[in-house]
Amino acid sequence: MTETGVSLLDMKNISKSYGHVQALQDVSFNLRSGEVMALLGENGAGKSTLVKLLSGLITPDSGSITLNGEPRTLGTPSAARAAGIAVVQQEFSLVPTLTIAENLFLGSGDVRGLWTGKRLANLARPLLDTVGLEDLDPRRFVSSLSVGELQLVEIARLMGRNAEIFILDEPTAALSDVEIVRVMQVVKRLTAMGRSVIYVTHRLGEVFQIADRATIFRNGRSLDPVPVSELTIDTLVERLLGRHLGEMYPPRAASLGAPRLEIKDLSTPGLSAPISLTARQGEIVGLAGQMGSGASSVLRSVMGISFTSSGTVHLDGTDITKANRQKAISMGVGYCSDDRKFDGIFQLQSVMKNLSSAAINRFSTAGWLSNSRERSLAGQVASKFAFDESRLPSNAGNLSGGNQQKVAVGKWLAISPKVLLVEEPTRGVDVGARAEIYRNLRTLADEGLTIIFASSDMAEVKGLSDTVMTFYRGHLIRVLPAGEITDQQMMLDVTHASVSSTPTTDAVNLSDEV
Amino acid sequence: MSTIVETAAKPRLVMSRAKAFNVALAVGVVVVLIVSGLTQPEFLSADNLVATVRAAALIGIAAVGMTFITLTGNFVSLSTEQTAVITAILCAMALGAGWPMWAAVVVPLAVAMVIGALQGIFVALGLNSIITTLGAGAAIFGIANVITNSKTIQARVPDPMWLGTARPLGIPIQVWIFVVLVLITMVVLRKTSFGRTVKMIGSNSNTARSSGLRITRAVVASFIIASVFAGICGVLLVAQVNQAKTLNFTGFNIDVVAAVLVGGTAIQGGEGSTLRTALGAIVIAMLTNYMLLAQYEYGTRLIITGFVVGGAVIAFNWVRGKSSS
Repeated sequence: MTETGVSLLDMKNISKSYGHVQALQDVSFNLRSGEVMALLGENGAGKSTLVKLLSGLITPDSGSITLNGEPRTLGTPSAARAAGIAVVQQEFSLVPTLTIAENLFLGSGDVRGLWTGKRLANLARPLLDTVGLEDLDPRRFVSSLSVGELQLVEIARLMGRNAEIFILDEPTAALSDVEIVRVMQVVKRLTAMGRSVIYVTHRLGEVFQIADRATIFRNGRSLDPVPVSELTIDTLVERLLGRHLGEMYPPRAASLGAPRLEIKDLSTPGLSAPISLTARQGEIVGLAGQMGSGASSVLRSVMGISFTSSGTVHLDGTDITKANRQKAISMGVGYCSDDRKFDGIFQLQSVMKNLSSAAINRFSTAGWLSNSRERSLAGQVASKFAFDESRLPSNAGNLSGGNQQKVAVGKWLAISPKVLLVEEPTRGVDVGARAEIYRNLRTLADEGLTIIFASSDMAEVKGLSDTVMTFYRGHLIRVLPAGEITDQQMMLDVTHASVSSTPTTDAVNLSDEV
Repeated sequence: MSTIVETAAKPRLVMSRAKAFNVALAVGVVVVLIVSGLTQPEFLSADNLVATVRAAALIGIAAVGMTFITLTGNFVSLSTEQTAVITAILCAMALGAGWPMWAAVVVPLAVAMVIGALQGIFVALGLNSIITTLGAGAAIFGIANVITNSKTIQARVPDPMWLGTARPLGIPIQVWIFVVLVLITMVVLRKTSFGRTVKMIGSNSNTARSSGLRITRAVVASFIIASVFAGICGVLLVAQVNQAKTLNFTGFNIDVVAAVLVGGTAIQGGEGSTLRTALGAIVIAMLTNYMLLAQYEYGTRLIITGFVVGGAVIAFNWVRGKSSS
């Protein structure tokens, strides 16, 4: 690890806004050659905006980018590629129906003449070797590879394009432990070869294993880069969370009602061990966990979306274990996924039709819609969720991310729900709309609604919940009243196991005492 | 993080878009009418106009039915002409066998309903609609050839049937049926929970599912509507010409799809109206009729129709892109 490499990439005073939303504000970022720079921050802090800037997908409103001492503009993806910046895609850009070798050289223009299997395989061999895939036959089809192997092949492909800067955006989010080790080894190999890596991650343990320095983003601003050797997990968590939670989150419930949703010994795909949970009237339960932790699996199983292999779910004493989605909705259970564009809103329909979409039977008689009843229903929902009624006729797709999220969550009020299940209630939502969503949810809970949400945003879980449950890799780690759990404890619960279970812990030894 | 700034002008723009589409289509109809009238005087003759609106009515009825499939986001049905053919043949056979008219109409339409329901079920189960209807169309056409031995079936009705030749208020009965079906479907799409469901599925089937909408039911019903409306075209043809053969509706699929697309129904679903489809059918029928009068070759007619459809789809997409970005 070259601690004193020369400055390779220097970004200064970068600002970028989307409409009213300031995604990046006066951000600076520095990368030396041969180093791994961890890029950390909560959801919406601006990490992905920075990655998009570097990959040429967007241009900054102001600020300068210097590469190898020369000022650069990375206006287009091809310009970024030509500058030697390579993004290892979260959604992989390999063609599954071609072989590994074919993928490695697809579009590179380096291999002229006939693409015979043998010739390509020979050319592919050295590239695969550098990423530790010595055993992989280049003539295998990409569709037969595991997620980890895909990522390594993708890195090999980018090596073939002579990339200098590799951006790995949450590379380990979907990987098994063994594959994580392989990816980490390759990252080290890359830096040993003088390449630089920007490593975006939510798993703090990985920072200590792999990174030389860390840059932390908070609400669109950057903190100065810190050598990892000067950090401890405590100081890192402190830096990550350092903001005023006071105004962001409403006060917790004064008192809770009777048990409303009772989950007993629930097993479902995504959970490694059965879990039990009781949510009371007026309670907000926060399930904290990273992607793949099993937190959202619980919600999906209750809603009848994913299979419940064993256990029971009772709503006000009624068994709803076997209820499908329509049945659950009719019983008063609403569910909002973490991807509003995928299955949360109808982008090309009006806000009014969106807000009423889950409750068509509430404004129709024998199949006939009543426009006036629909309007009043949508109006009620809008006023309950602090939504500007003048926007009811606009298309949902034309709203800001925050307002779209308010539509996706708020539409469930139309069914007069007893229980609301929400995944990532504020993903991709700016700070202002976040606070509003939190306030709305708390108001609804105070009126008796039970809310269970899953989130990878620790501050959100702690700030919004009455009860916190932490999840790691399919296991329920801890259940505590939100007032009694510390930020650090939560952060450790949802990330620390990745450190202790990974054999390459050479940089830090976190104690396992939890 | 794709954040779009909303402006006060947006809602009005969205509201006016549907109107703009309607106006554009009406203008299209008038332009074709004027140009055709000026260059081919016989285009405006009473006989020719009657023939044109009859053709427009048949294309239009099938297209209005197909609009439901398109709105659910299941593209189009490629078994429309085959369904019309088999219904026509069954109707002619029934009449030839001496069945009363009502039975000779209702039974073939019931068959069309079953044909539609089967395709709808397959599509609702996840099969691609193009493949499903293409396969169904081939099978249906095969059956039609087998049961007719590829011969023309005579209905042998002594007097011309009113269902084919009546002209209340001087307007052909087919046009009346067309107009009534357009009005009914407009009401269904706007005023019923089924119509709402159809549009919501087409807008985003995943959101529709997560909102608890009854997707299977709506998709199957849409295929039934499309199929029965195609069947109505078959019955109307028999009533008019007193016979049926397998080649009666050759090229009908393309005309019907063209009408839906020229009508500006979004091919990805969720947006469109049967009124606009109806106007699209009139444009296609007039265009075809004009080109026949002007004695264009078959190939030339296809080329021009193709360009009109392509141009319309591009124009509508452009307008949509403008107002939704």
